[in-house]
Amino acid sequence: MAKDNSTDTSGHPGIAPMVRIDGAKIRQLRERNKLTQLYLSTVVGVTTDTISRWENRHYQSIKLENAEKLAQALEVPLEEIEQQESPEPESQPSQVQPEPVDLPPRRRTGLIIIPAVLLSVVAAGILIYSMFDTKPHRGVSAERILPLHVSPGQSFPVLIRVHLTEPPPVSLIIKELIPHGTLALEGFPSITSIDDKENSLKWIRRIDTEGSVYAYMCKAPPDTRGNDRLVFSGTVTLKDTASDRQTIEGADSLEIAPYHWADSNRDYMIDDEEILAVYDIYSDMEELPFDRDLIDSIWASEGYAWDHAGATYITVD
Amino acid sequence: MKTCVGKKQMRIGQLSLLAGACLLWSGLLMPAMLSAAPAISAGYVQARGTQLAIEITTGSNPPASAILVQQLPPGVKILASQPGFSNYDARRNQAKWLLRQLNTGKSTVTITLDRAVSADEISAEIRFKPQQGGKMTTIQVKK
Repeated sequence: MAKDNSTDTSGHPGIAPMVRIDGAKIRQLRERNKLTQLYLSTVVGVTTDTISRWENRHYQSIKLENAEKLAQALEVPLEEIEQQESPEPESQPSQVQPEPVDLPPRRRTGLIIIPAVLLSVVAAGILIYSMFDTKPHRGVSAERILPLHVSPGQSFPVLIRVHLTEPPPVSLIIKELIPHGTLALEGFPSITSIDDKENSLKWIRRIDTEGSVYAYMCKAPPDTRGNDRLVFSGTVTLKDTASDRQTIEGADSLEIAPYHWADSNRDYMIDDEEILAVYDIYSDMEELPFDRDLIDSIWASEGYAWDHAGATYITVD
Repeated sequence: MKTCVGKKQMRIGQLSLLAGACLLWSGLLMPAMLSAAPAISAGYVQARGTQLAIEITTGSNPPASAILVQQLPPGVKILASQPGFSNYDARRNQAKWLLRQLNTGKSTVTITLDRAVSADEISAEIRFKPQQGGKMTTIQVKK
């Protein structure tokens, strides 16, 4: 990295041969010659930050030696990058102080306070905005919600929440690959197509809201054993942006286990927290047939047992 | 001149304070106050005798469901209720209602008991999830 020697006094402490340069002119010449700030910084022997500062300040006093190198890099005579419309008589290379304007101290304090206040207000605004703005910066995102487990041969709900980050209406395609041997039952809204060979299902929909939910009931294979896992995957794609296909995030597998899917803590009971979670998560899907009556009766009872032979749950009173 | 500059600086200071306060109010305090508004509140309309009545008020963003838990004195039985209770635990003298599809506004649960009770003998609470995916919250039914 280039060492910034722009403050080097080269054996002339306090005062060095200085020249006032025109920042806008430097930027213009650099861009015209298709040069980068990095190139200029390397040639002159300063950092890119220094080049940026030189370009952004209207007039700036810099060392004559650096100005000469800068002019050489920009392939122009030194005069061309010097300040042209100076009211000061010493517009030629001369001994000038780095401070271009000498204001009364109080005026300068005021000039510092106003931008500082404005900057802090803007910074606070950005901070607050960033605290509340958690949207991903892509067109669409999706999250899958699965129970933690399901018993062999039993049905369970799968939810996909889709969130748009661009203004609706849009058309989208949701493609979901379900585990081999697993059956996709009813979907809400209706599944557009099911491919039995690929074991996939698709929704092709036009949506008018930022958030939407897609759900389907799935039936676990009856011949699975405990600890087996069913693995799901899927994508969501906005029409006309096929290259921006997004993977469905969130849960991607569930375990085969002898517990009801709503019994998330596996204690053979559905307690208040668990039943509220069921209605909390699946309330958007009133039509989804997720055996509400069985869940309600297990909650109202002392518990349940899994009858493996009969492939059913028995409530305990 | 000194006084003029001093006043100007004071004015800038006051304006920046005002801007900061506005930002704090609109960005942090107002959302916090709005989210602090209870999703459900409940109180006894009648809390003694053989007839109990509980009025449940749900806010503009009600939870998907809630559970009303009524604690009764030992030996007291429920003869009838509207709506019907979902579960009665005789060991704990506790009846539960699973309230589904809560709508914004007021609804009342009435309970008919087999003997008169006093307000001190009974208590009730409501359990619900105030935010989707959040933890269960419990509020007491006011007497």
